Amino acid sequence: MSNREEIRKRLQAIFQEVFDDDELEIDDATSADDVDDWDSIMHITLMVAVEKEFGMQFNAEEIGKLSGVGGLIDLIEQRAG
Amino acid sequence: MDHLQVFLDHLREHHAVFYGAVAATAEAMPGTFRRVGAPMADWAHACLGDDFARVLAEGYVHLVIEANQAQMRYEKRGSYEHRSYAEVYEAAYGNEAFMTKYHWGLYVAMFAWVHHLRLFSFYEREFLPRLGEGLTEGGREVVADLGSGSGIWSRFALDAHPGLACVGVDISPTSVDEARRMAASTGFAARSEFVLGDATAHRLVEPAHAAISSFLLEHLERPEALLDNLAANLAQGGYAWITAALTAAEIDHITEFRRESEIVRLVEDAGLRVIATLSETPRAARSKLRFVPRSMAVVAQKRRNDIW
Repeated sequence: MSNREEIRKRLQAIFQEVFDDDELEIDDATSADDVDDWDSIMHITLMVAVEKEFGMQFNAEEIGKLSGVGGLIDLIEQRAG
Repeated sequence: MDHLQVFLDHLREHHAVFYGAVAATAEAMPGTFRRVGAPMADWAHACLGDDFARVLAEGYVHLVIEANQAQMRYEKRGSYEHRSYAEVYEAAYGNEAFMTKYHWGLYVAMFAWVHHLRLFSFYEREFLPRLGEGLTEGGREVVADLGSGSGIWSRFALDAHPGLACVGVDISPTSVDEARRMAASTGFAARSEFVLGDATAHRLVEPAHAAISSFLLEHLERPEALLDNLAANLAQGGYAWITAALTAAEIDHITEFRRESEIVRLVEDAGLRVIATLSETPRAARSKLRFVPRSMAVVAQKRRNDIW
């Protein structure tokens, strides 16, 4: 399994928890338009959960520019690398 | 050009996640949203030039993230992060880049947050009409804006009453510069004066006919000092517009108000008679939280004696 796929799987569990939807499936193309309730408040809740899961912190500029799963995986990969 | 639409288009394109809440505000209160947002977008364009939409959008996103992260930490900790001006200066006020973003973020929040628009409607209904009571044709009255920030509340008062002039006082050089720049670029310099000073101590040469202090109380170690100074700067019978945030953690909030009555009591103790109040919550506030952030507005009048 690629590192990217591993990150996606861990993110999927976070998304399901944050958005309270066990059926929620995400991929690189998933954006805020595809997920019910993905608004600014949920975005910040999501990012706090991601920071905790991956043991990293993002600044406001990074959080503010994200709009989809692909970009989030890129960011985690960059930070981990 | 419709600068408000330019801003909204920029926000949708570059910060999609943050656009939805603003669009929902526009849909919930379309008339007020445009009445407040359209001139503010025009003024921002006049002040910042063609890059205005990016500056506003980045400031707004920065504010939303910072405020919500602070609110989450507050929910866990049970108290505000900072207790003194010195701590806040270290964390925020001393950082000019941070403060510039924060300044423009607060500017956008005035029309992007539905609870702020409700306060604005209250301002139009309960405060602005009272300013005209003593104005005569060709007369000039002064409104003091203590902690003026971008000067936006007094600016709307000047828009409503051509006979009004404002004196704004703010401790932040960034805010004073921006307020002066905006007044100059939008043709209001002759009726606006913004001075660098301490809103809890600055005295005008003569008492003002009205006073505004918007969202400053919670930033102070001694909020009663602001209201005492506001009352001292206000002519007898003059009206005041005072707003404050309750259980709303932001990086520069020091005094934690938990109940609306705490603010009413402070206003009364300063020698003012409370005429009308409004307390509003953000649309996104969730009931399971211990602390629901609120914004409160008070319209008051300087008392003539202990009773009225």
